[in-house]
Amino acid sequence: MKNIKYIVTVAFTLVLLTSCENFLDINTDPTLYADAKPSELLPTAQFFTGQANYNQARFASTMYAGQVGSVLGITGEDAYYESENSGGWTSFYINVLPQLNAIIKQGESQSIPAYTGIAKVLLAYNLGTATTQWENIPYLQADQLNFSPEYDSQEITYQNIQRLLDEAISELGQNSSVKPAADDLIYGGDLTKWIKAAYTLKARYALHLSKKNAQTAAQNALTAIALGFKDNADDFDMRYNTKNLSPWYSNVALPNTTSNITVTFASPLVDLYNGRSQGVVDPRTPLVFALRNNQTAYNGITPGLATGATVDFRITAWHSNINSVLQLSTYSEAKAIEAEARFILNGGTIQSTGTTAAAYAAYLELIRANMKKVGVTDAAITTFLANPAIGMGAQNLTLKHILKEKYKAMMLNGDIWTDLRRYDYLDFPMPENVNPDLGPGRIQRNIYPSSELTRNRVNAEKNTKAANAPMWAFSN
Amino acid sequence: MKKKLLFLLFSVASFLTYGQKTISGKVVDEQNEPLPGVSVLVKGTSKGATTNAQGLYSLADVSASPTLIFSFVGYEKQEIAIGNLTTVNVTLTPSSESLEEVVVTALNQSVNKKSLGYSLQTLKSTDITDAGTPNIVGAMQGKIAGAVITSSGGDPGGGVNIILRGVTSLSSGADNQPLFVVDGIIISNATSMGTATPSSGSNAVDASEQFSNTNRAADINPDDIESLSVLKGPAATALYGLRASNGAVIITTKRAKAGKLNISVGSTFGIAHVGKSPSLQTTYLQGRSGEFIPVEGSRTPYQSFGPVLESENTTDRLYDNFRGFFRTGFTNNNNLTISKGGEKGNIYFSLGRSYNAGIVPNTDFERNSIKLAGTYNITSKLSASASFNYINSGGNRAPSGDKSIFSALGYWPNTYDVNDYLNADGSYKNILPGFTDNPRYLMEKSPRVDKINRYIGDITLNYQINSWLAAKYQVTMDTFDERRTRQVDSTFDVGTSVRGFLIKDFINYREINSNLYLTATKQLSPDWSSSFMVGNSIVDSKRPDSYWERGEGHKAPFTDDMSSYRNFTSRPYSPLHYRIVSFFGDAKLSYRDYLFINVTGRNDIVSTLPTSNNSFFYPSVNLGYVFTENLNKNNTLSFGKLRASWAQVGKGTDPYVTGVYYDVTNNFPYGNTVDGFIRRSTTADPNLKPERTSSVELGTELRFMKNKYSLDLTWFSMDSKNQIVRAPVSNVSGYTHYYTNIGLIRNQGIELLASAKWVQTKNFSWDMSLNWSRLRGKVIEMPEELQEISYYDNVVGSLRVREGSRVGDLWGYDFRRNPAGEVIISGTTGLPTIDMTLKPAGNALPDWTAGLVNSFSYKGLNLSALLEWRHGGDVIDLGDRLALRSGSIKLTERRYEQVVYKGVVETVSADGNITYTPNEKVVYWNDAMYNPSAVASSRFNALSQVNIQDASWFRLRSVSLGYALPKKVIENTVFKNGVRFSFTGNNLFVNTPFRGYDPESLAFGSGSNLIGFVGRNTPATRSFQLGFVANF
Repeated sequence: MKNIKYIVTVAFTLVLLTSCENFLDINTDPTLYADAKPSELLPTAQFFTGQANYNQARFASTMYAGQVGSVLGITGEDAYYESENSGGWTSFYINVLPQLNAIIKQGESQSIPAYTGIAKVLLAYNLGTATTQWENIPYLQADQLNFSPEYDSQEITYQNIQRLLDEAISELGQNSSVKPAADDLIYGGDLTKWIKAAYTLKARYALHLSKKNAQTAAQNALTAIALGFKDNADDFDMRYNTKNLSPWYSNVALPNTTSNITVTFASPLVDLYNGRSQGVVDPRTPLVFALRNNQTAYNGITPGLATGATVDFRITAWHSNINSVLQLSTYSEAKAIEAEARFILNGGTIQSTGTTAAAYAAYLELIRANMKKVGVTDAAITTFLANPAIGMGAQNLTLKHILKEKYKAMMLNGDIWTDLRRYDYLDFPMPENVNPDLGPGRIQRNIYPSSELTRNRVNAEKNTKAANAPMWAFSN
Repeated sequence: MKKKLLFLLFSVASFLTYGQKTISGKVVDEQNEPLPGVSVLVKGTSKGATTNAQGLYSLADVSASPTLIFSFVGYEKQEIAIGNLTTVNVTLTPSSESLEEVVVTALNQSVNKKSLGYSLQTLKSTDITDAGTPNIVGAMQGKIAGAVITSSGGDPGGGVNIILRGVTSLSSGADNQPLFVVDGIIISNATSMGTATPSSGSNAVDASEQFSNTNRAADINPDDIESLSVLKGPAATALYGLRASNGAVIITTKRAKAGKLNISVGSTFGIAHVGKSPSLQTTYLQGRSGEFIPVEGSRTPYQSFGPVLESENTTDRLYDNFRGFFRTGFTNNNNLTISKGGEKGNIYFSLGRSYNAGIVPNTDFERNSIKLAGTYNITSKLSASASFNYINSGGNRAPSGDKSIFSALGYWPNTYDVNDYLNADGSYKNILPGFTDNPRYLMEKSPRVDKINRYIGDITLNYQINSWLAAKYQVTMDTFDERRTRQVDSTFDVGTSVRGFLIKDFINYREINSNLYLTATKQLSPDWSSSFMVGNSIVDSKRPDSYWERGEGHKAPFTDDMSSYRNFTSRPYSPLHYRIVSFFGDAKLSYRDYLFINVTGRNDIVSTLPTSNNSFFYPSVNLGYVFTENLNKNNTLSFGKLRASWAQVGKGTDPYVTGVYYDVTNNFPYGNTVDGFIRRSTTADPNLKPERTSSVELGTELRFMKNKYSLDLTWFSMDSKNQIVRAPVSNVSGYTHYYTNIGLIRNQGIELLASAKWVQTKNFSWDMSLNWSRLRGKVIEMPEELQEISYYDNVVGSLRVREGSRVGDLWGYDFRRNPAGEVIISGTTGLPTIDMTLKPAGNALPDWTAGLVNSFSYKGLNLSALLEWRHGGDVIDLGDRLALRSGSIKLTERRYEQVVYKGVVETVSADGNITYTPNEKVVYWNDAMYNPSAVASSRFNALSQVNIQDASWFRLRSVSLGYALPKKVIENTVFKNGVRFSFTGNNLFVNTPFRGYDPESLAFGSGSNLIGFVGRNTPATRSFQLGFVANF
């Protein structure tokens, strides 16, 4: 009988236990967090903004722009095969945007405009990076658990970029009870630098529209750049460390040390340094390129040929060593924007020669600033700038001069591809073995990632255009 | 809940009846051993009882002089008119033709197989031990109709994947493995992947790809197993509920027989070597474009497109590294069991040790187990039993993913011996620095070492409340802790981008189950008998305090300790805690021993679904009709039964899928100081509903010519609805995956079992049994917002499903073709052009599978051979692709000749007209044809015709020869209870059109839905074992 009682007791205990709802209320993962503070989300968003810059450059833009070429075969992006850059796309929508939206939301409810301002600058930068690769991109319907989000037109996207930057400038100027410090991996919490970065980006994205209306674009850019970066110390650079390795170092230069070579510098870029294009050897050459064993002459790979290079990404070069920063936007770029804007406002075009002293001064400063940053001696800078091929004087300056020096100073920055598209690829040669499916003209866009074509097919297909069709921003 | 209990008490009360006299007694067998479970029925009434564990029964309130009917499966029925007696002892004799097979079904109910309304297959202990594999799942290969059992290769302790009746869950991470139950204890058969990988570099992929991790059922010592039942469909498993929605494997272990002390000692020794291996090209040395590449130069000589090996060349030779890399494996199993039974109970003790040195150098797996189990009869009505099993297993595992030993082996030029990996001073000698590591070095210096301590136990109480009502309570526990370590120091190529790494996994698992059953057995009338059962079960499962540690950046002093690494990261693994509370009931009715009806119902309440949807009920009904009982007895059709069932099973989801979470950003804190968080990229529909699988199963069992021949045929159709899928969604949504209910998968199949007793004489017998099955899974519905689910994408192919496609479809690239189907050749290059849209190009699941066992016995000698077929089933060989690219396999031997591709050249005129003209352009076949990067536009290397191979096979899975010493020889020795010697050979013969190693080696290991990929795990072996068992 005792045993019956025991069993009945056990049975009843179980029934009571189960009737208790708490018994099943255990579906919360204790190793994860229900929420995160802006100071914990900002480093993540900044780190992946750096990745967005690297992905844009490595997997699409610098290849299209002739700075980098594939050594693996003749069907790389350097031969105008379309890139998906799916890593860049995913990183923006998964790793960056949700974190920035969370910062903005919390920043607004907790009245910490320092964070919302920084988040908006980063958001504008990421939108700019994305729209110049894919044209129409989702933003207004993004990060809302909408599985068939519609894409915004590029025109709307450029408006959103400028609006976000304007809001950011206003918010960064307000009093903020909490301000970032070490969690701001880029500026360490220096809000005045963030404001300068916002103005520089306003100028960059204004000038992107020069083909639509050169004068308006130049005026907007010049107005903004006046409040932009003032010297190299203002540069919008992502910094790495011995744990979180610089991407060109860990993904390209380090594998190269073990012969896992994927890409190297391409001839249109190298030729601007080695004297072949400009008739004068740039003193930055040995600092930014590394010669392969037993090589003495600096030659880049011929785009579309996968051969011809004597240089490589090395762990000793300025852009790909363990201490390399990733340059998102620089003082040198600001000077290039200023030089171009002034050139245009002076009535200049891509065909015309000669400009104002102010435009010429900005042009010289663009070169000088980058040379200083890369580590060229003052004497070498002076000698280089004195060379008539470089220091040709205001009356002989052309837009091409400005754009080509900008192209060098913004080495490995994907935004350089927008300049080529604004000016119909200047006098850059066609690659060898051009993608036969491209049709006439040059490559103008990335293809949407296959994840979008399978998971958001209707919208992706609606916005898909031919690879050689110019984007809204870069057409009249 | 309380209502349910009231209902239970109510149904119990309805059984109570009243009478006049009490009769009791004992029922024994011919050896005078008590027979429990014998049905005792008062003829012409519904009154009855069942004997208890001591063979005792008692019938109260019986009319003056009744006739009692004693019946028990496997024994002759007896009718006894007892007159005035009140004590009746009976001895039952075994029935001459034992049709009455007792089988174990869901919740460990012993049931007469005759009464089942669904198909069920069982294996005996010798079926398992004679298979000569230490993994019980592997031992089931070829024997179960409707099961696709695939090993992850020949790695010692490597996992074996089992899918019963097809894939029912679509998500790539879904577990389609059946439930494993040992003596009522639900044990984990999970294959834990672990996710710890370096933060960047080519090894930074899912760890599942890296190792053939062990499926945890492998911890069970096969020598402890008495029998095994395979419950395939929902009709058989409905009582187990959601956790058995992919079927169940019910294992019953050995227990002591009453009255005897039995000591048994067994031992086996075996060797194994690599089975089938790829054919090599035997003409060319290493190099490119016919030129030999100096080893010390700047180029890497990983390709074998060098000069012809001329006969006068005496310095070079070609090695078959695809065989030479492997050594002879060795296995040794030792087992000791001691058991004793008596009036008061029984006890069983076993000690087992299994050691397996793998064919890959430095790999091994060992398992030590101790098991203690016993029953104690506290009173005649109450008994308690308990079991405890401790297992210690583990070993050295071969790294097997990208840039690991099998990709390195695929690339290794056959001009060099892969085993030549050390310089004279003991330092690393690698002829492919920067390209890949030497696989021998990788294995000798960087094995993944794992160690498991596992404890499985239960306590069970049985109480015979009265003659017809019994209660049982069982509490069970399965817990293990697993430690895994792998070091890839800075001398390795694979660690380049992080400068070496050390990873440690600490995985713990613990599950507790509580089960309560009340069973009532009652003869309702002379024609109707019944049995009712109600019960409750509670599951609490979690992976507590599990975490991983990672060091990166190898620094001096160069030790294998975490302190030798610059950057340290440690993160917890999710505890995956869930609970399930269930109530269930089972009613069995039988009419005159030929019509059987069984109804079950179960309600599960789970912690993992939203509260509004977390309780779900599902019923099942099945019917068995022995129609030969209604026919005139005849010898042609000696037994015939029809079965029909309808059943439903519900299924929950994984823990923590709903809601929004933030996690530590990968490789943060930044610079070891700044914290970073990131929103988890998966979430779930807040109204997630349980998945439901409904099945209809029809079958028949026929025996002919006095049971000489038998046939068992089953047809089934299963619809899996409201699939909970981890759907890949547009990343723009802010998430990569979204758990939601979608779609409908239909699996239909036929299973056939046939057996024949060809010869049965006193000294010689020949039995044959065949199993055959075919299965088709189809995706009937997919939701609007999700057009396809891609499980795995590779450069050459993809495992994905769309609406209307078959489960297991492999998609690949074909040539571009004109409307007439001719291959379009590029006018400029003369090479075929490739269509870059993925098309279905094969299916990873077999068209049909079959196994044929022939057993012969002559006096003490018996011989059994298992032939196994798998017809159809395509695979992508990830290793073959590398060897193709590097020019070491036979397929690349054809080179340096002028060819004209058969096909047409497409011309588009100015007005858009397309014309096709036959291709006449001559092209030169050189190594570029095989190298994907050299001429990517030809993509020969990516063509589905090259890469998706038919992996059908026919094999002699095992042959075993046993010899038992004649009784005469041993009856006066200590071995008087029998001595048996056995010899087993496995995989003695394989015939397949597949080019590579034995196609039976899943690249992604067991427990994964990623089927159809091979070539990155240790290949399957051919093995031989010699053993003996002696009983004292």
